[in-house]
Amino acid sequence: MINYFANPTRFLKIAKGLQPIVALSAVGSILTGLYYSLIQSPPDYQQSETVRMMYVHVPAAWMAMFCYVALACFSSVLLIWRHIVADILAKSTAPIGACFTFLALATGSLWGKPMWGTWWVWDARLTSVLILFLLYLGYMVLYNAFDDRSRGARAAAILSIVGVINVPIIKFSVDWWNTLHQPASVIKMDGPAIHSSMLTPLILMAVGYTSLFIWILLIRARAELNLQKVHALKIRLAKV
Amino acid sequence: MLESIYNYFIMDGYGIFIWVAFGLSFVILAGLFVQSIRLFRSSEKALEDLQIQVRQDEK
Repeated sequence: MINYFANPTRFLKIAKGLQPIVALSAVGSILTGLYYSLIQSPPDYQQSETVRMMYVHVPAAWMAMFCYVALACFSSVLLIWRHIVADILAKSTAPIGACFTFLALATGSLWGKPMWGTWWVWDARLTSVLILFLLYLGYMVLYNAFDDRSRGARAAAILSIVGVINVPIIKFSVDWWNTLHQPASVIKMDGPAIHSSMLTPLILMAVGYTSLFIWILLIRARAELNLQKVHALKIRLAKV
Repeated sequence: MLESIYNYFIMDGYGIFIWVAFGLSFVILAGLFVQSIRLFRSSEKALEDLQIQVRQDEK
């Protein structure tokens, strides 16, 4: 299957067909999610209206981790099979993941101030997410640090695979250490611990963010493929 | 009517945090989307221009 998608022409064809579907899913889910988040869902009995920040903060945090796992998977395919499409997908995933991580940190900080009385604490959850953000930045810097693109891609791929150890640390940090951050209330063994009136907008926003990620990823991957063709044509012209 | 709209935006006194969180999310994600579209369009243009140049050189 990996070899099937590794063909850039086939990938382009699939990307073009997939784009309108994910675009519709992203716009539809986010707009419906915003309606439920800001109008339909009730305030929390303890956190009052501030709970509405959960609908942008939690999906962003999920996407930050999801994008990193995707980045590590694409990087593994690149290192093992040296597929150009995996390289392009990995390179395109990094800035999207960095944006979601930044949003998770920033919206978390905005939620932390009224609830914890501080914008930031150096506890396990917050620090491990900050490390995730630095890993994304490191990936992008390393990728562009070499004149030879393939060397940069390989070095960055190794960094992303090593850094994937941080993802379970983020997930379980609230169980392993004493932190200000609340423990998991949705993705847990005995099912979600939040009411359906709050779970609905959360799931809608998560679906919207995931679709948006795929949509932007396909756009950026198509752009990267074009740029690779430009690079190849320039070499061809230089030889003539 | 106006008071209920005002109260909605105030959100129990937490409105500033909530609206900034939603606004920031919109700005970052919309910015990323627009930047990606621009990258795609500029790459298409660069490819088209080069393909024309290659065809002219081949003639």
